[in-house]
Amino acid sequence: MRAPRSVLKQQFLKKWMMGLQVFGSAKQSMSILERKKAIKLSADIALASTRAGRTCWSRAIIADASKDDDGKVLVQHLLSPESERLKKASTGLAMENKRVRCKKILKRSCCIKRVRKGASKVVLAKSISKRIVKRRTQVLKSLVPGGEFMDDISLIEETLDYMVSLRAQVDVMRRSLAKATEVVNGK
Amino acid sequence: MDGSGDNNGDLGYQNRAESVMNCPSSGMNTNPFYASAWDPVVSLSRPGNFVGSSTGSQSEFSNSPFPIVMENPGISNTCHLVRYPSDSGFIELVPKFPGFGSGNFSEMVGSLGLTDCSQIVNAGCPPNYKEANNESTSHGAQRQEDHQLSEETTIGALPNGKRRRRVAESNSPFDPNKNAEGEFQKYPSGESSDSAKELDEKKQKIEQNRGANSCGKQVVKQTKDNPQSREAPKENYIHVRARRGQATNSHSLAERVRREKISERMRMLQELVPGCNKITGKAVMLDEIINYVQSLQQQVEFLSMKLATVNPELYNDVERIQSKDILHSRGGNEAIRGLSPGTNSHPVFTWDFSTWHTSHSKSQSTFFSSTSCYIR
Repeated sequence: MRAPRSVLKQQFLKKWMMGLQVFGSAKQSMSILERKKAIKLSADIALASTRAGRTCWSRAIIADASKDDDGKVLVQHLLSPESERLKKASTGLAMENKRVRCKKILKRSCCIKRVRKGASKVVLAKSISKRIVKRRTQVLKSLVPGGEFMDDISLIEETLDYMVSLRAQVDVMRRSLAKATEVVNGK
Repeated sequence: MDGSGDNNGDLGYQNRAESVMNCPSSGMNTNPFYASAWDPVVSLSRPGNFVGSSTGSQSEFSNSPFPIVMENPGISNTCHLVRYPSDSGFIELVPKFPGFGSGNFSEMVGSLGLTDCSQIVNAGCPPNYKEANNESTSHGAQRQEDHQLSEETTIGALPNGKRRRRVAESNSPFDPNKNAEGEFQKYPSGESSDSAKELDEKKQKIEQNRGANSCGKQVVKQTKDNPQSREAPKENYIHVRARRGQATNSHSLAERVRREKISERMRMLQELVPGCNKITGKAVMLDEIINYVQSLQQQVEFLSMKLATVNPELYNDVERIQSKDILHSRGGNEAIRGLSPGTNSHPVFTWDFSTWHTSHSKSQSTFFSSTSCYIR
């Protein structure tokens, strides 16, 4: 398991550096906040590109990023060979998500569950726990990019993949920060 | 080649059997599942044969040059579907045989096509947490069992905690009815939920059939953990038998399958999230997952902020050095960590926390100490 993870990290690092170079000389003129946004954006897009197109969250990130100019440039730069296909996939995703959302709204408005009064304790506990689980899945859906449009099973799979990639991202960023501060302190 | 135009939708099995024997190769791809599809037609007494595997039949027919040559446009289309499997390919296979008499037969053929497709489809599955090999070894395993008419259902083959449910039937006498059931086997699963859903609907229909044909409650279900089962292909189409004393309603069966899928995946998540080994139950597990993902995202924000404060003049040099160093040192660091994936994150955090604490101010270290408390 170690090998695929370091491969992932290397891929991520490479793409991240590529994305940062896009900003290039403009870096010096940007404020700290802008720089931070640029760094984070390129990191996110690089992360998504390592899973290019295969997972839902990566497509969602790319779709969101392509909405504004900076993101578009980055996306094109980082994903140049596959950008066409991915853009189509992302736009298709947006349409499908709208459809899914409308269906869900319809469904929710139609069926309202009522708990019987005087139901046994077990049933009550079950319904409570179901509600808790539902609420927490909602939260999870809001956390994972593109998660609102997935069903439970694929949500968990996406979370898995997303967690692995996030961990790799954090790892790489932390190490590069350590190296950077070393260099700075050394100089 | 016989006039194949009339074969499409023709129920004359005998004619086809003859055409099978007589037709020389016509340059079409080997269609092992077609070849084996005719076995039950010709000899109804050996349904297990073609269940055995497409690979088995492949080896069988590889010697003879294209024994089965059908130039039906319908069948040639499905050949294409086999070779270039898309998700729709799974579903289209069955309707391509409208003319075949028993629904059983279409399902049988469909099952073969699916096993073949699945091998190719599964190659595209995300590699990082799928270690199952979709090789013909699984089919080899099946061949051994086809004599016993055992059914196997794999539910979401996973790297850890893989489970296999084998429904072992005693050798029941063959009926034409039982044939349909005996021939069902595992279908490797792609990762697309779309085809899974559509196939689930189909499966429910078949489940009802089965429920009608046999008493679902007779079957004994065994759960086994086999090293062999790890190499089993994943299923897109899971055949589930109702356990003794449980409802055979198709809805509850589907519900049960869904619940099991969810719990399998939650178990995988448990291993990733640190400190969740003792937790059972969806609600608490979800809570931990949410906290962990949130903390990871916050760390990303924080780190990018920190990186932004690095002096930009040095940035280009730093970039180069970083990429070189990190790429080179990655191998060494990974070795130093020397951890199993389950316990990975603990030492990662603590190790880095020490560097943080030495080189940074208190405000920053408090952030990480709080996360370290969470991480335990």
